[in-house]
Amino acid sequence: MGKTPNEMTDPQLVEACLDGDDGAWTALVDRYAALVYSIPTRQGLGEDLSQDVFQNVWTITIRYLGALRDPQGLAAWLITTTQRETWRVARRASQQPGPGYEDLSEVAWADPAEAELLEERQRLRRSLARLDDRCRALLTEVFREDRPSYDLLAERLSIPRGSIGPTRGRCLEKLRTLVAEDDTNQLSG
Amino acid sequence: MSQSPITTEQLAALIAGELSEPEAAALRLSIQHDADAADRFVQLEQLARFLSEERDAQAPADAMRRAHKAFAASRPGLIETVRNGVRRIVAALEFDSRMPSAALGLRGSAQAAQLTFSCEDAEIDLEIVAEGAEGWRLRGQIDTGLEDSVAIDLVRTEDETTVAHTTARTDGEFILDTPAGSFSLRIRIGKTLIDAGPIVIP
Repeated sequence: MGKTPNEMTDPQLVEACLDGDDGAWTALVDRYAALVYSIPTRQGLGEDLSQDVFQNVWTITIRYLGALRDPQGLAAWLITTTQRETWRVARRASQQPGPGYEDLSEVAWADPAEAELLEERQRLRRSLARLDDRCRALLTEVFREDRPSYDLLAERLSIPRGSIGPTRGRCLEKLRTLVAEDDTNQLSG
Repeated sequence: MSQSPITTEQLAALIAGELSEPEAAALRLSIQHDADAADRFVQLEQLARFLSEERDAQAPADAMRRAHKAFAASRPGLIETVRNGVRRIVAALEFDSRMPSAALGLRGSAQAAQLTFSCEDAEIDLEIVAEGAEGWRLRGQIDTGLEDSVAIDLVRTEDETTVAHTTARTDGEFILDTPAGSFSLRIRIGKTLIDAGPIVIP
């Protein structure tokens, strides 16, 4: 039986997209959405401008799919493209200050250290995606600076309040193991 | 008597700042004497930093829907290009005179700009200048090292509409007149299609 789009590697997803597979495109967007969206938001763009960048990057990606036949470096390509698009949108916004415009003069374009950090986060994201839904939901809530109260969290996630701590520990340990497995696969792959 | 091993739950509570000062101090001391726990603590801190920002990295549902839908509109042209055996390559932006330079703090003018794109098959130099009241002129030179005919389309990014078309002269020079907007150049040389963009005018 063939792989589902979510199980495909990046090169397989790109090939499937070039065959016109909508599901493959959806999986590709889902896989890299957080990476792409995090770049303009980390650079201080407001939600509207960040959404402009997000949309533009996917339009550009569709156009360049045919040139991405060796997409081992898809994450790196998306980072560069999104940084460039962030710079472009930020530049236009700085000429027309308005809602969503913050201090864009510090936008780092193609900063290698930032690109490395973004790739590392995407690697962690890949492991996070392999966790079960409940663990993923708990972990992305419980470490936020503005995290909801444990009472609210317990209600939202339908788990007893007293279980949050132990569950968090177990989920974090699972994630740590998945990251370590991913590291091993990278080294052996 | 040996101490019980430090659990991930304890380390997570320390990272989340949920322990009292004496509890946190005692646990930190234990970690200093337990190499395995110290390793795990560093890894968990890294994970917690990542997780603390991850929810803010989620694109809004509307944006996700638009990104998913974008493919359906572009799919016919994309498949046509692949089926016809056209080799499509991307020319990378090498230089934009308007781009902030970290080293020099230079800024290009909004009324004129120079850009350079490059790929294995060609070098493309562009100059954007104001032309008339609201128009813009794109003067370019493409060096392919070949004598083949070079057809050039200027395509609007948002709707893939061709706004200008020309053929390069034998010396590689070309001129395209355009309104403002975001575009890409589609340069066709035989069965090769070079895509250079985005080109933001002005």
